[in-house]
Amino acid sequence: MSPKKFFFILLGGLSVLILASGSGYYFALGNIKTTSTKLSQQLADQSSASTTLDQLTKLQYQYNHEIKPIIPLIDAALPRTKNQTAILAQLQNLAGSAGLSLTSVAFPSPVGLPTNTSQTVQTGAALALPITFQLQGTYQQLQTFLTSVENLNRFTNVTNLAISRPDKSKPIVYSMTVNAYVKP
Amino acid sequence: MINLLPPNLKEQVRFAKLNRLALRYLRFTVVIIVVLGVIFGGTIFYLNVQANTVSKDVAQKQLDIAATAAFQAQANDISLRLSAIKYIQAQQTHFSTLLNDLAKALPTGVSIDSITLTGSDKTAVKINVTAPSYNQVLAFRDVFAQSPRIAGVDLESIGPAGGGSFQASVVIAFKPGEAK
Repeated sequence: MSPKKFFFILLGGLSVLILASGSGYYFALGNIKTTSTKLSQQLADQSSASTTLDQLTKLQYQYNHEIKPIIPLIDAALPRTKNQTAILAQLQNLAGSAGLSLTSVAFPSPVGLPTNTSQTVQTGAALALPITFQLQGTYQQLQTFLTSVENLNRFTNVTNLAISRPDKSKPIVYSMTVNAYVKP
Repeated sequence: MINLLPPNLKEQVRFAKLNRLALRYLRFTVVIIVVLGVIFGGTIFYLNVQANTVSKDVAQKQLDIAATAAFQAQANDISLRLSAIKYIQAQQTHFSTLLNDLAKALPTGVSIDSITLTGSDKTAVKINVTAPSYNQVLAFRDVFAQSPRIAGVDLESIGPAGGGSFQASVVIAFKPGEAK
């Protein structure tokens, strides 16, 4: 092969090599860019997942050590069902302990079929079971009863209290509505 | 120096020299390409390894997060219950304290015949009282007006109740937040 011919072959080879390496550079740069974008997205996901997991772990610890032990108390204070008989028994006991006589009790008429939450009304984030009843006794006995109701282990609220003494020779009559709360 | 070589041979010699130069450039280019190739290849490999590792870690963390779904449901439930408790406590009336405060404001001998408490400070409350004398009714009105819970007191009626005592009807308004 003559040197001239070899020179042109070398020149061609060099050109092909430069073109191929240019393409390779372009391809590699694109690949690096794509992979680094993907990696940075994954790192952001990893960071977010780590933060979420850390928070969840801390919350789970807090839940297990601080909340879980008091769940029975919360359930007793705010039951999932209306526990109608339990609250009636409690009111009867409190009235008896205070020396008052419970003369009548009334609940709202159920709308539809009776259920664990029938007769209740939506009150904010909870349901309220209104219990209207009448008591007879002295003012001091009423004070004792009210204090007991306000400190009951179940969330209740006296929403209406009417005091009347139509006849001074007879005991004072107290008409009361108490909301007993339920959170299904 | 006089080159006596024939033109054809002289051209071959010139190309031979150019070939030597071209080969040198070719070698240099190949070295550069190989070095760059190693750098780029290494970078791509490293990035892919990192991406795979992070991807596996993220997948594992997502599994760990998914494993806490039951706890999250319980926590949401208790959170709703605590919100409800917060609401209930904000609505809580303390009529025992309120009645005690009202009783303290009653002058001696004056007794309440009827009162209806609703916990609302937006509506007026009517109180019927019996007092031993006319002046005691007036005293009751004035003392009640001075109570820290009461915003206003209006006397509605005063009449004899027999035996020298008087019955009065009074309408009171509570100060904001003081009716429960």
